[in-house]
Amino acid sequence: MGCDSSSPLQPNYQFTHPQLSIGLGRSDLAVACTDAENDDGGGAAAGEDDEMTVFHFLNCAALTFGPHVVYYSATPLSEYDTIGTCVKAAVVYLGTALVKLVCLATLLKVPENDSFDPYQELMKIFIGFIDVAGLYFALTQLTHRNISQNHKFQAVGLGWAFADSVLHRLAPLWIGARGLEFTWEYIFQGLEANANLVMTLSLAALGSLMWLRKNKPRTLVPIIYACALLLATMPSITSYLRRSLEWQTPKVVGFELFSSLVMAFISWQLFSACQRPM
Amino acid sequence: MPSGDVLASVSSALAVLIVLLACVELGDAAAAVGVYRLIQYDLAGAPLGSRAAALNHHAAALPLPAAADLSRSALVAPLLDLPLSFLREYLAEKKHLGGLLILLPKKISDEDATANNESKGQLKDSLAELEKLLLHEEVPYPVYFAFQDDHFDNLLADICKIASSGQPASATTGGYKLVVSSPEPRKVSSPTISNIQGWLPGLKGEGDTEQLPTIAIVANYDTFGAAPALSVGSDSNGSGAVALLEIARLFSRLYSNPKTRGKYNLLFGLTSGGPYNYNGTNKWLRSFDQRVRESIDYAICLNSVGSWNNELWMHVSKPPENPYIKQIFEDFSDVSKEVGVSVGIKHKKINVSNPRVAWEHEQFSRFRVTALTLSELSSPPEFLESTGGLYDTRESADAESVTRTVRLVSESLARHIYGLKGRNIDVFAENSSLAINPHYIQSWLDLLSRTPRVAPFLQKNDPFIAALKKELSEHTTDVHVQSDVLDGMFTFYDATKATLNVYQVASVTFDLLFLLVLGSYLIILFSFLVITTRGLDDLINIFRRPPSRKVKGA
Repeated sequence: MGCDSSSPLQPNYQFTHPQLSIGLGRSDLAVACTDAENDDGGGAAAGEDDEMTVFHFLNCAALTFGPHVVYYSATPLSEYDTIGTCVKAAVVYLGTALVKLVCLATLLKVPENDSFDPYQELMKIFIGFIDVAGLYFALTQLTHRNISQNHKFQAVGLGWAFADSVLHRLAPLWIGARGLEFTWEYIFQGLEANANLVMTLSLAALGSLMWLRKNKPRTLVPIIYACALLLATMPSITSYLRRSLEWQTPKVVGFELFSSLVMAFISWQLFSACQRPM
Repeated sequence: MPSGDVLASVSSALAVLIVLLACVELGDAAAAVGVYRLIQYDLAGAPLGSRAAALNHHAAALPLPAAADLSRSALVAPLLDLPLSFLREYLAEKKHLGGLLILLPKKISDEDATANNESKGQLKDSLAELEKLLLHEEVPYPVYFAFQDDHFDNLLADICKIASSGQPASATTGGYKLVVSSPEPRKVSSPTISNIQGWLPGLKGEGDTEQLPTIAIVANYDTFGAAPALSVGSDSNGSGAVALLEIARLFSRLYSNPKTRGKYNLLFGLTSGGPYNYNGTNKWLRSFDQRVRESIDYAICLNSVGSWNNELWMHVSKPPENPYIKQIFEDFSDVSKEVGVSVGIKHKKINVSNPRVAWEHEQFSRFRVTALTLSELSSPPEFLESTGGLYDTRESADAESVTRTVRLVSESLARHIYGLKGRNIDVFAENSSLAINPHYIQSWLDLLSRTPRVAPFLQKNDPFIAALKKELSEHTTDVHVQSDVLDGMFTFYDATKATLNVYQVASVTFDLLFLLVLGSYLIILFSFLVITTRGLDDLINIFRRPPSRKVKGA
């Protein structure tokens, strides 16, 4: 019935959500005592609060997966019915994730302490390149119906990012966002999903440039490869920021959003530069 | 077909996943704290105490804003900030609270003992008053006790800050929710009281055919308080039980050698059911053979002997002029003079028609056995008072007082048993092999102060009872545990401890605002993508599509 066998005179604590201290501090979140004028959950029985938390779950889910759906329906992707490509790309992503998992399990040791181990990080970066290989496979090896280069990389990127969001973010969202406790965690996760979508699209664009377009202006080639490298190592960079430099989550998410927009802009410029007839 | 197998395995994996997801418990509170519930009991059918256990309400704190509706809030208040008049008014007018969480102060450390004597006294008084109020009222909502610490201080500060700013909940603010998910409290079926007895048989001479006379030493070991999970009763009556154990130990050393065995049997009784008019003592005496009962010369009951300095009281029901009483009192007085304390005598007649039994010796007197109670209390305690409440913790009993009591009782007994009256002999002298062992007293006091001992929640086979039995059997023989059912007038309910989860919740306005922001973000994203990839005309066409399609189709 709750307390374990500890002495009755000693309080026992389990703090299960340290995230509560992220940047915003509990002093910002406060309580209204005047339940009379408050039409919120103050007048609520337990049932209403369950509704509220499902509402929060739906909000965060919309934030996480909505942009993918919006992207598909807003761009000509929906007109040309490229859903097949997206699905195939998603499947390739799942396969890649499995391979990465196996590699991580076999090649990485369990860290004794939380310090930054350069060897381990290097291994993780190499394993991250499996992602790039997967994208290569999706872009080049899969048979697509007749869709232009333009749409091909978009569809592949979209399917890839959607699968990534589902795999990494759906389960925590389902389990966590429905709880009574309010945290900013899932909102940040949604923002990260957005940034991830943009970065995946950029990487897919550069990938299609690298592998599908044969005639590229010579000067731009190293830039293309450099940007692709940067995008591929972006997950490692964010984890480095989070662990070693100990940036707080809002900062990291802000960095991700900013860098994704920058990289998207650069990729867009590169892509349109390569599209100009030589 | 291989694809069929693959499909089957995939679907079974999916089923497992779905089952797993459904079973995931949403236990993600900001903090989980152990809390202790106010006792819930019925007295002769009248419901008393806290009648509910489950709690799921928003937290509120003092000072309350004017005209606040508390029927859907759980009030969190430190003990010293809770005005009893407020609580009394609420209880008298039968106003509803969602719940009440009273924060008990942390233990005052010994280092600042001198500075805090006054605050200790104030604390003791507040706790006593609160307990008295809550024990005799029917409280239809859950009342919990918890220990105050930094976490609760922050919580209260947060709540008060918002209340004082007077603003309604802003977009990002919601509240704190206190949730205790406890099952419905059930009656404790047939609560047992277990009396433990042990004998030290005296030395029968060659020609003695009659039974030796017996002297009984009795103390009740159980407690009763507002929070049964916190009722450790160090002074009432842990001190008495420990004194009894030490006396048993000393006399067992004397009686182990036939040369020093006295001509009296010694009967040690650790009784239960003390707060309930010494119901257990009654049942225990009833279980004796009449001849054994008649052989008891007199009984010494020990009650609350852990915090006195100079004066101890001997309570009797027979008039002090009675020769037996006189003699016993003289024995005590002689020893007390040597020890440097004084023993006073108080006489209280028993009214057989009154069911209230204030002292343990009264149960003996009802069986016509001469008995007395030694206590630091000068007047008989009220019903359910001085039974080991919230303030009766380790600090309220000290080993020196218990040692002094042991010396007083054992010396007088020894002089009586061995006929040493008038001779200047110290039987239990210090630095002798029979010296009183303060470490023994300390360690048993410590143990008792860690064990809540409310009788209905102590089963027959509770390890604590087994420990007492084992300890008594180290010193005495013929140890026997007599279990009986508590008097039907009392009914107790369980659910004495629970875990409180404190959640931080966001208000509905926050969710709606978030939805608004999210909706506009998605719409802007949509428009942006349509404009950049298909052109502005397409965006406008989307909104004009139905009529233009009709035109196209026609």
